[in-house]
Amino acid sequence: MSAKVRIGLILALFSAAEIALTLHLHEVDVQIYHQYAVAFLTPPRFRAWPQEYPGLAELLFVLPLAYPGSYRVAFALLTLFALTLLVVYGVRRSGDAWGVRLLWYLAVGSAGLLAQRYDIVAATVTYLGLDAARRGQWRRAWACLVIGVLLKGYPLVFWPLVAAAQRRERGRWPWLHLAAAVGAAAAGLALPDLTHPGAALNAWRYLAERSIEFESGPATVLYWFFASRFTSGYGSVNLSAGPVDHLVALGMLGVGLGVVGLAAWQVLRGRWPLMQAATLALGAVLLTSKVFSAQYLLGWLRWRPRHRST
Amino acid sequence: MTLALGLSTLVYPLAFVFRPLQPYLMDLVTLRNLVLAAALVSLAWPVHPSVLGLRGVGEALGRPRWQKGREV
Repeated sequence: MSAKVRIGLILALFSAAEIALTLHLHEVDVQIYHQYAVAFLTPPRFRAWPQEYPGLAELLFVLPLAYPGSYRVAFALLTLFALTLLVVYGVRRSGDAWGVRLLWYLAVGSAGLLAQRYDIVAATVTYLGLDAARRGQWRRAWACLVIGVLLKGYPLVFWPLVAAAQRRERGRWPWLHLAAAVGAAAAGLALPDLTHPGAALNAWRYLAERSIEFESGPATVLYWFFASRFTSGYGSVNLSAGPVDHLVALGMLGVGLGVVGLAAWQVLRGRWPLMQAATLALGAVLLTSKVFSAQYLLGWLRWRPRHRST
Repeated sequence: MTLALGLSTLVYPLAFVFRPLQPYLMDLVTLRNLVLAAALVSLAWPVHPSVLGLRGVGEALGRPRWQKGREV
């Protein structure tokens, strides 16, 4: 049996397991996606945008409605399509062993979540973007990273690193690419405002207002240094110490952004490879934000080891 | 590292279902966050991997392998 057939079989088995998990282990996120999609298409149409996600994510929520059967299954098929793209592309770029390792990581790391959240779509786009940057295909890199930001927001942390890497390779700052990326991202993020004024800021407002999730880095600080208590809300268990919450969250965000700046500086100086800097930047932002989203780092670790030396 | 992070995602539903466990789960995620922070620091500044036992964690995150006092 050739390696390609073996990977295909593993992928098929993995996909079947994901569909079974989707049917029998219901995650609440898909239900929320479904509610967003139905609200978006209910008259007056195109006015109800997601509260906690960027506007373009609505496209991913609406697409599964075209499938005549279960929304959960349709959404799972969409995520498995993104996974297949990642596997096919990654195997071609990094070899058969990479594909097997990717699926193994997925099985132990996020089997219950993969087909019931849209993170894998954003992760695939981000992977394509950073891989393109690694190979000096800057236009493609920026395009993918803009789409990543429009879907999930967090790929924004890679922008300064890619700009620094491009500056280092080309000898000048990529002002044109940066301007195009900022313009495209701003236009995409502002899209909801066309039908519902103020909706463009939904995701950012939600993030600013929401409580500190108990797994996050800011929660660790609250837990250690302040008298805090557990609360519920925003779909999570949270930790609160009163008015100091916002100060701690802002302070930690500052630390995270500082690390991103440091990583970009080290890339610019040629001291850190792009992938190492990207791992650090993503990890820092993950640890310092109000919500701990392990799936972002898990998504990263799946492909990261292959690119150690780059 | 992947397994540890993956398993730590179980904390989220456990905290919802078993409220009395929340303080203990808080201790667990605090420890997880500290290990992750230390691993990230070791990624940025290549301390010797025996420090804090970070060899596996740092390398899983992509830190260059350390041999005989230098990076290879």
